[in-house]
Amino acid sequence: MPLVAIVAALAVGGVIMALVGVAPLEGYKALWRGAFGGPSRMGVTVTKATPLILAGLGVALPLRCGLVNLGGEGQVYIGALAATLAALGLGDLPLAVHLPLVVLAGFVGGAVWGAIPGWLKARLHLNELITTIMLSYIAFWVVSYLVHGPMKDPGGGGYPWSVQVPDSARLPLILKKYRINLGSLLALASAAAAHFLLWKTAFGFEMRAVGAGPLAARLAGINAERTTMLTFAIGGGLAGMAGMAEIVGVQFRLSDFFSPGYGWDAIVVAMAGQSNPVGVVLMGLFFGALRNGAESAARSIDMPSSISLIIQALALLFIIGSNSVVLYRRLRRRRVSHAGDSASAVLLD
Amino acid sequence: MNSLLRMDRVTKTFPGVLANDCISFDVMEGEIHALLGENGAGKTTLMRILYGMSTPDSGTLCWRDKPVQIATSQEAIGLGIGMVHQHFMLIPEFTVVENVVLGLRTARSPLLDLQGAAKRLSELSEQFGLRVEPWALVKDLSTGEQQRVEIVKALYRGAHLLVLDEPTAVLTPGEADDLFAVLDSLRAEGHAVIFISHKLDEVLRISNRVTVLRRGCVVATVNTCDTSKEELATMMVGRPVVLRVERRPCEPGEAVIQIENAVVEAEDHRHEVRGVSLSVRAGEILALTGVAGNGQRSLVEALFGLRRLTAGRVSILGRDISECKPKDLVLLNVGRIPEDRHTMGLALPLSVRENLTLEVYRQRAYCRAGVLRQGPITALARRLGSEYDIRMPGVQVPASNLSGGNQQKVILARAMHREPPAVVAADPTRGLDVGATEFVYRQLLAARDRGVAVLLISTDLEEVLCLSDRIAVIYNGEIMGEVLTEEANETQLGMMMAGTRGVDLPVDLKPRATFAPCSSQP
Repeated sequence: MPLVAIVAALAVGGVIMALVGVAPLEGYKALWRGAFGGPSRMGVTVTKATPLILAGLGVALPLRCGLVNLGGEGQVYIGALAATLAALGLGDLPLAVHLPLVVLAGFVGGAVWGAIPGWLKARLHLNELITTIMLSYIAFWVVSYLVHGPMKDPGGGGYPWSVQVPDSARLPLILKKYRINLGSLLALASAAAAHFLLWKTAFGFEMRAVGAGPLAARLAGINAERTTMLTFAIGGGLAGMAGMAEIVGVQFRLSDFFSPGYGWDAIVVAMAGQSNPVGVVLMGLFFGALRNGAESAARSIDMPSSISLIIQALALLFIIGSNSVVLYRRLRRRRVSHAGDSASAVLLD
Repeated sequence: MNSLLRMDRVTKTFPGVLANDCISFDVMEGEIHALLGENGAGKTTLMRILYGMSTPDSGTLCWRDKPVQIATSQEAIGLGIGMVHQHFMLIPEFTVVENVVLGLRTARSPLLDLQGAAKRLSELSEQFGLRVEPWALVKDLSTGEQQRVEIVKALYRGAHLLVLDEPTAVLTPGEADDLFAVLDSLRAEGHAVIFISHKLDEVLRISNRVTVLRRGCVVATVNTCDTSKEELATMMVGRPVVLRVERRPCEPGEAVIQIENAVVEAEDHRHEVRGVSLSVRAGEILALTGVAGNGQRSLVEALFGLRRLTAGRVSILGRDISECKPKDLVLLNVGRIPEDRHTMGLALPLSVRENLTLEVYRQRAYCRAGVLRQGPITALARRLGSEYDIRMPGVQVPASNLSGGNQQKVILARAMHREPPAVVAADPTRGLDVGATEFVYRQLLAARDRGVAVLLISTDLEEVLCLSDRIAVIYNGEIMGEVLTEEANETQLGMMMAGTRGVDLPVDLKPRATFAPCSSQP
């Protein structure tokens, strides 16, 4: 179903390209070249996919537990902030010590920011849709304040950004030819860990049980409150890793514009990937390629780069549409000549 | 008498299921026609077709001898067909008259004409003996009254043919009598009624003709005066049925489940359970019965560890469980069968295997250092699948793919396979067909014979009378009385279900003193 939705989004995207005066076939060719034309282009695709995958996992895991994490963006920012503080504040350490601490800081920062809505949901039954969005704004403005004030680089030419992080805190390149850094490997490892957690561990089973049947899970003795809080914390931590990977892997300094909305895009990635870690990796790569291709096509054939965002938004709309039971039933009713009705009528009988 | 409705060779298939197979069915003016069949026999599908909620694959409908097509419920209402659903479609915060005019246009539209509607409502109410007060709030009405509001709502919309879907399922025996009186007066005024039920006594009592459905086919249409309970039961099930299960005499032991003066409070601080005391001994089935909504749910939730007692005490095998959470009850091995299969019993999207192991996956045999051991888990699921005869394509399919009966077997297997000393079962056969019901009965009786203390909470009197050794009746959160099942009769139970205390019953109905281990009990 998500594949159909993406194909549909690409098709409508083609129509929009035609409307703005770009031949769709040319447009998609340029997109493809931009995303996969040569090692460095592919490297950029993977690097752009990295935060999408991490933040996508941060949305996907809570979804499995029946929780909608709309606060990925805030968790990305706080993760980035924590990683930057660890990178700048821990002084002279060898890379082998410093970098793991920075990675950990990114995870913990995001986890704390994720645990807050988790706690509010579990203990006070506050709707996580609202708390996560609001906490995102708080996170953004906290970082914005810091990079405009206390953390601002005095020699930064007036830009609102922090000092560069030292080499010992940077994610090293692992594939020099492709310019892919260790962050991408961390993203893949995180996806593998998430997969293991979900399907092989008792805690993952509890998460899925709470998501699939909250009452049945409670009756069976599963502590739904604890599961909710922990899941949210893990999700936030993964999103925090996205912020960390972007700062110490790509940009090397914290600013309040370092994320083009990774936490929001993560929602699309998680839903398109059906809350499945493997799916999240594939969708992260797809949307990373789309981004990268569109930026390159903007330069090569002057296509508006917002096309990629439009396609992404369309993909989300179509995915939500494909989940609509009503739409599904209508389509089927039309296909089955006379009648179509959900099998639920049989169950009602 | 003239034909009012004729459904001719109606066929309806769902993927993999032939729900209605060439069904022909007719209703005369001024007739009560019962539609009898087990769950899944096709009654509801047929009525959904009649009411425009479902389109048949083939077949025709005639209304007053003219062929009609009914594509929407509005069209059905337009013809004069009214439906009273099992679950009422009323807004509790609205008055009766507001509920009745909801969605209707009047001459004064867009303004409401509640006064006019109330007047018309009172006329209808008087004409058919419905006793409905137009200005009462629906939430203040009893279930029986709400049902009458549904009937008057249909009549107000000009219904000439009323379809009642299992109307007595929610009523006390006394309220059912009132309903039958209303149906009688409807019939006398020339209205027609389709009465859907699987209760034979009611069908024999109220209907003119009976059509029996089985597996989507019409078995026969017979005049009620020419048939008998046994014949109808045989037609319905397809084989002669023994309406009582075999049971050995009860040999009760020590008290296992002890409930003393339990009080449970609702969220609005209303007491839903007001000082209930019960004691269930090893090797007996105690049935707690009453009309739905008299505190059973709260009591069950308290016994399941989902809700706290406000006062009182519950103990199992002498251990106080008043403060226990569900997890503690799992560790104590209390078998729990919840009334709502789909939300409380199962996590439907999860596999059968996962649902079966929901209470044991943390045990050392199935989990090492937080990592699940797939082999033993699958082996356990397979074993339970065959022991409890769960029909499924495999243990990996989602529980939602199973039929209701097999879903209930999953719950039963999970609750019973660890041989619990005590079992609390809430409406364990609701919505099950005869075969699955028998299976549940046999399991519960076998547990009792092994010496398990079984507390059965059920609204189904037939079930209670057939399964239990003792019966306690709850009304408005209080126990009205306890009787030994062999000495119980429906009149006596019905009066207690309607709120008469056992001690206040007429002498010939007064229950004898039963086993009463709790001194606090009357």
